[in-house]
Amino acid sequence: MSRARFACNLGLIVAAAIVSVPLLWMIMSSIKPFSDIFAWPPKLFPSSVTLDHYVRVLEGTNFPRYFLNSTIVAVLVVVSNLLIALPCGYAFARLPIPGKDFAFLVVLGTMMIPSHVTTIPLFILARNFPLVGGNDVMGAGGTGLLNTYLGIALPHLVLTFTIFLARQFFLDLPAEIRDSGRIDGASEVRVFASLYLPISLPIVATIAIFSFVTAWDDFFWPLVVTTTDRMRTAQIGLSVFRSQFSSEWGALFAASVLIVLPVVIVFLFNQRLFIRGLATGATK
Amino acid sequence: MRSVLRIALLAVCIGVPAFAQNLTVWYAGNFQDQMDLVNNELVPAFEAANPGIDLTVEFIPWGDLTAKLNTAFATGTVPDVFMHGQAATAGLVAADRLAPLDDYLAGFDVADFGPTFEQGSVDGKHYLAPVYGSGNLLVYRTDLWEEAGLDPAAPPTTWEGLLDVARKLTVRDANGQIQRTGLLIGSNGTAIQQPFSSLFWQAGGEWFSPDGREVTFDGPAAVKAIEFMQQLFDPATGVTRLGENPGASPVNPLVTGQAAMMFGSMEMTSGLRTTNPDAFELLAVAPPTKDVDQATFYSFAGFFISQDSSHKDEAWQYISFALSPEWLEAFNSAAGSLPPRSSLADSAFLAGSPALKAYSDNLQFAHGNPNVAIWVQARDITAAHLESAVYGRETAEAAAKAIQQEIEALLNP
Amino acid sequence: MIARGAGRPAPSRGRFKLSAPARAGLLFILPALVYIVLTQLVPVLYALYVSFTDYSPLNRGAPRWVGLQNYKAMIFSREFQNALWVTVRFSAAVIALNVAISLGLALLLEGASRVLRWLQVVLFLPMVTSVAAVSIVWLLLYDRDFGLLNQIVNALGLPSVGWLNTVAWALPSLVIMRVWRGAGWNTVIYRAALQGIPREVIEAAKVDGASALQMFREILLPLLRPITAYIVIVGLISTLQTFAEIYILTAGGPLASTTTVGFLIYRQAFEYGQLGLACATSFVLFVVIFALSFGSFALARKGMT
Repeated sequence: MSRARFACNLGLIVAAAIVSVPLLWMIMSSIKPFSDIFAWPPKLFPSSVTLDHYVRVLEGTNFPRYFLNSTIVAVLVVVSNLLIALPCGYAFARLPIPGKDFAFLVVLGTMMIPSHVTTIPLFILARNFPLVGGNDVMGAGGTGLLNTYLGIALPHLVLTFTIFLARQFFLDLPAEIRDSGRIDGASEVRVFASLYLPISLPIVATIAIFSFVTAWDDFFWPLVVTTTDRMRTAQIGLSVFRSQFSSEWGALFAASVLIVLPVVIVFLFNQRLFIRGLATGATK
Repeated sequence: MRSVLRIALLAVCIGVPAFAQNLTVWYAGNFQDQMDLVNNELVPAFEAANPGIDLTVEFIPWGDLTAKLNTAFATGTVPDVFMHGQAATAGLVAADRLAPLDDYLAGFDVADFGPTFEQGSVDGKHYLAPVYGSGNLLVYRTDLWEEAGLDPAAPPTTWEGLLDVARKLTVRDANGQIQRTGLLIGSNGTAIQQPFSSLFWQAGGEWFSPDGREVTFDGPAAVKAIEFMQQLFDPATGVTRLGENPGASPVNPLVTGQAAMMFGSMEMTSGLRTTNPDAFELLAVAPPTKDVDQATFYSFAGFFISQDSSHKDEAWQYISFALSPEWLEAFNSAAGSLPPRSSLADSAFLAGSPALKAYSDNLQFAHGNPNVAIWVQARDITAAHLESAVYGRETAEAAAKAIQQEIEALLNP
Repeated sequence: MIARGAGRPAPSRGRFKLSAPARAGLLFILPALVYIVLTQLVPVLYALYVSFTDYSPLNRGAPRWVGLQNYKAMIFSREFQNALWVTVRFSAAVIALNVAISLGLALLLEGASRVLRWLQVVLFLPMVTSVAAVSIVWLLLYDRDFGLLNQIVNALGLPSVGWLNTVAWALPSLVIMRVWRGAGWNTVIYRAALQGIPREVIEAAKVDGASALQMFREILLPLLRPITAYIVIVGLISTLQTFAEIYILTAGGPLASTTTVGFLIYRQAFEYGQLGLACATSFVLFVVIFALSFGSFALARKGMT
């Protein structure tokens, strides 16, 4: 092994170790007995392993329900981003639409507005959405999308950033594919569906993971748009364990690990594709 | 909504001229034991006693309450009954968001609530039905007192005494850095503003004139209280460190022994009873000190009826049910909070613990936050200048003057 | 990268007639566009309107038009100026460190043995964990008296640091946590860019006898300039809006040293109910983000030609 390679290996191992300390801490704390969590100075490794905190989270609270809600919302968001944002990004990259550069700039610009100020208009939209939740055609009379999965998913159904990533990805694929397809007389939809889509697995994975994480991680909007315990998401549920001065730290960490777990699993299964999708987009 | 329709339909079908009314109630705070009590016992009991009313109850963490209420106000989705702190009353009344309770009070034993009921009144009308309270009192570790040769049974009664005890309890390392704070006080936000309020009131100060139209902050009382805070934070001779944020601390500093004393709310002290029973046994709670007056910060949270509610009578039915002595006692014992009824001052859960009982005993010195619409901003202005005063960036006089001027600008734009 | 649309304008066959590809393109874009107009653009325009009014969610009745009053009140307030300065320093530090560290990590990954390259996943993990959960872990790590970081510092013979408790360290501590979360993401992007550099360029430089440092400065850096601009812009958009970590770790203190504009907006909108002011602040922040993004973009262009 050359000296340079050895140095790189060492550096990489050290970096990975440093990065994983906070994550390790979280996992360890979730299996520590109560007394270990409050041991000062704190200890990274538990004196004995307990699953009490997980039992408390899964059996003592409504967390399983919150989890289910989060999962449904996240899956909804992934599906709609793949169905809507992906073709949109393709069109921005490859199809001749008048005014599209301007439209794309507007799309990008909306990313730069802090979400706190659009919460109230968005809430009005959710509540007055026509023909759902007891609303009439004019959007009056009922509760609209409040307390519905679609309502919780509303701000993430088409993420600007996934359009952006998709556009970058397709810009990187050769334009000749489309030209050849068109010579063969295929329609634009067919060109996209049967020529581009099969080689777009990386960006599909990237969009899926990114939109899953975004929906899964959201805290503020689900809080505002749900008014019943039944519709709470896992992130809101986390606050049950944490109130000022009296936090149930063990349960909080256990719940945190549980919250992170699905994301990590989704990520691990798709990471090679995900990283390729992200990387391909970025070089343009 | 759908259940109302279903019941209405059912009523029409079987010919009963009764309509179930859907009543929505928001509780503030999401303490598990409280939620369990309300969901599993209180609500079923109320619905059984009032078959015509269909209750929907939600619990909102305190930190998110204002955001959720604002959204609800902006979009006309305010619940019939919601809980908030007493200091929110004036602002909500000024915006015409609350229905007065006075019409319902005949036959209701207001007297048992005493001053806690009065805290939520504006221009002679009552709006707040108090549910639970908390006070801010000196909490201390008796074992550390004994170690320092102090008598835990004789807590200080004056500012000088407090400073003296705190200095004896403060431990510094060889470099003069504080290792154990004698009296821990956070240095920003409400963590510094609440202990200051108590001192300010003890010195005879008030933020506003009784009618709330004039700012009366700046004066000898404010300067004296700020100067005392500066002494507590003094890097060389003080008893607490700059930059503490006890609310964010993973483990309470009284438990770890990082602090020998701190001003603690009843929630904090009760919380320790459940999370750290061993440390809780070592704690004692002192009455407020006295300067010209003996006073400390107490606050009550309670129910309000929304002005927009179309079920105000049913709303009161629920409130009076939840405020009955039995339910109030159950609710407050679940969280270890202070029941607003004087008849509950000796409830079992308080009587069993001298530390908790102290909060009830010292209720006589209670002083609430000023009931003005701009209180939240006035509070933050005060906290910001207190912070820069204890950091030595401002003199006590300059801070008092700046607080006065900035709140005035807010009151009369 | 933004303006370089690949499509050529369609040959117009009539004033209102679109070519078949353009029609297909519209079909592809339309659902997303309708959605964005409804859920993003309309709320943004509404917020723009509100920024010129005294709107408070608490008040009944229509908002009162106040012209530029909110903008004036905010731009001249010391609180906002301080927050803007904190925000700019926070973003600059996060982005600079992110670029340096992730480029370094990408080079390490390229140089390391193949069997170790899966560690890239570990580097990436913090990005996919929930902010609220990891913020609480960092709270423990940063504890002034017993936190792991101070145990290490003490082991090195240095006095404890008040990570979250001092004006000097609070902002850097937030920066460290933020870099920890984001560096893995950018490492992936840099690695892809490194792999995209033609072998011949590097070989040619070696033949010319360039040292490693020369090669890095004169070949790699210029070639990586567009990708760096991308990282900077995406970084700007996300860091300038940072809120959750700050809320949990420092609540904006001490002495407002970690009060960012995003934090200020939250307080104005949801604690004080001054939605008009909050919206005005947001638009000023928007202008700042936009100007800075445009600047980096222009810089990248210069690098490409």
